[in-house]
Amino acid sequence: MKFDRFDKILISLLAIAAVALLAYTAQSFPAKTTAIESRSMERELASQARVGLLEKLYSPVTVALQNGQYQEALLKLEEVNIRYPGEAHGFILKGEILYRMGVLDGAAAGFIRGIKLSGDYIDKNSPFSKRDIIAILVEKSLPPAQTAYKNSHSNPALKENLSNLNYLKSRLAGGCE
Amino acid sequence: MRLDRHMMTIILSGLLLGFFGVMLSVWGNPENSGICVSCFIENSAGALGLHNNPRLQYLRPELVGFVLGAFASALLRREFRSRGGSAPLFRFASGFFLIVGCAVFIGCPIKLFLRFTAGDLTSLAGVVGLIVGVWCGLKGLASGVELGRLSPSAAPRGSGLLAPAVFLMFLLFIFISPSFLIASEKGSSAQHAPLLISLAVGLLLGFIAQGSRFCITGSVRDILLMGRRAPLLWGGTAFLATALLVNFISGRFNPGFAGQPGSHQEYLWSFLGMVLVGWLSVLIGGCPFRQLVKSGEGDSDAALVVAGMFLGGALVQGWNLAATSAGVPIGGKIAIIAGFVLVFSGSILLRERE
Amino acid sequence: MTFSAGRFFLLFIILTAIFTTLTSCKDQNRKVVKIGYMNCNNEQETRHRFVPLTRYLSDKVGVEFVMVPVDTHDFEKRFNQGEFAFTHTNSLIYMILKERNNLKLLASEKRGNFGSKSGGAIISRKGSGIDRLDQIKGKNFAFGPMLAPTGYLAEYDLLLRSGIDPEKDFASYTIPSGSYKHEKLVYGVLFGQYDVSAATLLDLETMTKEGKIAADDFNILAQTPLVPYCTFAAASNADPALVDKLRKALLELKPTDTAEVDGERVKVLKAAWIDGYEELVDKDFDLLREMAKRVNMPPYQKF
Repeated sequence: MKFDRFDKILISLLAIAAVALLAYTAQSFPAKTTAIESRSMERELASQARVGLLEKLYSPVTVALQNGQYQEALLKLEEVNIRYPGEAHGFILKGEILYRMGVLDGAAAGFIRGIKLSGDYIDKNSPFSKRDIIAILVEKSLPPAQTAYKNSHSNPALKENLSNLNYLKSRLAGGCE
Repeated sequence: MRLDRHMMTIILSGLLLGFFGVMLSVWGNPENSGICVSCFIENSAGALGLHNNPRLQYLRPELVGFVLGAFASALLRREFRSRGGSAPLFRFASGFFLIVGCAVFIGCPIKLFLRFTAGDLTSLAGVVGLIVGVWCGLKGLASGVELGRLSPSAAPRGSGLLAPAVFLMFLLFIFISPSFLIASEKGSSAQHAPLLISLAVGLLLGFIAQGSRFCITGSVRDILLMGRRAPLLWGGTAFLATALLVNFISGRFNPGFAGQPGSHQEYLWSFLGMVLVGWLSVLIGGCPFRQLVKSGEGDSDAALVVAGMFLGGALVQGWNLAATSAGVPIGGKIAIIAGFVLVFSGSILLRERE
Repeated sequence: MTFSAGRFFLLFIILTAIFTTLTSCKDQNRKVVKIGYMNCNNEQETRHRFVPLTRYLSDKVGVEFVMVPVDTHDFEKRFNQGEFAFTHTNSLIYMILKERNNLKLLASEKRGNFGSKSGGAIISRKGSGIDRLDQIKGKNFAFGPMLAPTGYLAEYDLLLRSGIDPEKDFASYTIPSGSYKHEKLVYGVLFGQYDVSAATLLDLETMTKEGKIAADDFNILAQTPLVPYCTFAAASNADPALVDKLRKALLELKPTDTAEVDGERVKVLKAAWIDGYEELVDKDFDLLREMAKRVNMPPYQKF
């Protein structure tokens, strides 16, 4: 291949551009990237702020729950829900309270509404992870739910409960979301 | 079966794809998603800031490996040729709808069989759908639906380098982590095999697949066309057998319909999603994995499909088209139908009539 | 062939007349079936809640359902007189009619946190000094209406099981008069009229949701087990095909389903304050049966 004058100019310009590119790239990393410029930092801040806010907002509910006062916890949750309806954390707490009260179908429904809004609750490492309790719920409820549905196919409530539990099982099993 | 060098390469491709497809899950990738091109593209689109789902953002090294491995192989084998220029916009749109089909099914054709070999029986609807889709595509080809021949003259010399260059840039991003690159700290994108292992596997598979031309829809196509004489039949069989075996050994084989990882029970839409993927793959000459490999060997048309796939990866998340364990959202169903509108109208318009 | 505007108009009038006649004939030919609805508070409220549901069921099932509001205490008598073939009652009335008339269970209402079930609680005002169940002896107590499963029966049973005999261990006990007895109990405790009372969990939940009370206003001293809530049922001689159709219509009812009432489209479930219907089996009422036996209440009352 023979290069003419124009080729040589272009090659020279390419070399200059490449050097400039490298120089600027080297300059920008890593020293010039301050923490606040980093998206992961922003995300971490938002995440921690959310954790803090949720803990504060729902503390009357969680305190009642921890003290075993499940009905009080439900009523306090209703109060928070007036201001923040549709919040995933509310659904998850409702699921947990109902689970503790032994209302397993209601618990599954609550967990599902929460997880659909935020998958964090089924993650192992999330600060609000309910993975363990959901795993126990599925383990306990799935066999009787399968039997009940087998015995009464026409009952939509049994079908819904079974599909809820299967959804939770699928989310526990992992895979792409 | 003649066990020549080409056949050996094909079988090796199947073996490696099956082995690493499961092992990457063992090493950290999401369950049944050791290799899933559509998932990787959704993840990578998110990492580049093209969508905002905080649980699906990670620049997957395997994806980079596929393209650069294929590029290296093509260079070594002297098969790198810049080519392209056949129905580029149709290919771009096809790339988009390939991802739509995969997102509604939850997985690309490779993951389809990885799910199947892990005992996920819901994937059967997708298996049938893929076969039907490939068959429809073949009928289309036989009836004269032709995107036009790839032409070296239509693609200026060197233009095929662009795709490997872009993926080389992504490789740099993986190592230098520029501030705009996002990485999920939760969700399925936070689950990944160690970076160097992912990259090495990607490079190896891209390298081998370039030489063997191995591809899932290609295997189905060849089996439908040639039956037992198809070399890809043996590659496909090696892939399935290895994946099944490794799933068994690693304790990942859990047969059943309900509660499978990353799956739903809307069988009709799983079926239709994979029909769309199979049909489009035949029309454009390969499944999403093959498109990546071809873009690494200088095929600008395949690179356009890849660009379309990235747009798809961004929009299936941004527009809530992707299915989840809860089922297929209405937007996903509409997008599948729109995909078929593209296939049907494209087939009518691109058909060569005597 | 050409038509003038006049002929078109004439054709339109004739077609409209035929259509209207056919439609009205269809309506007139519909079989009339009566459903007795137990009044929770008063007849007006019952009509307001259940007219849209009754219209919806008529449209779905293809018979003309007519709603008959019935006072709780008259329910068994009027059912026995054959005034209605289908019933909508609380679980206790269902249980009584099941025992005595072999009523067939259709579908049960889902409402509130516990779906088709509900429970009762014993409450005191916060700050009253009554924080535990063992402190309520010698206090003024109030129950809900006697035929209320979670406003009377379940709490009475709970007290007996906790070693408290309402007939002996309270300074006094009462049942508020008039309508809205359940709410009166809660307000009665809040404003100091009663020291302690029975309260249905559903009312506590609804009143909190509506901002009428605060969760911190009360101590929940004890809570009863959950038992089935209001339910639809059919007389044993009701047409089985109609029973199946009605059950199916109830179970398939969605929050978006509407019915026309006085020229307006109304959301059926929202109007009835219900979340949906669920199919229970008669065995689900066994817990309630045990309670009735322990409390010596109908249908197991022994004198």
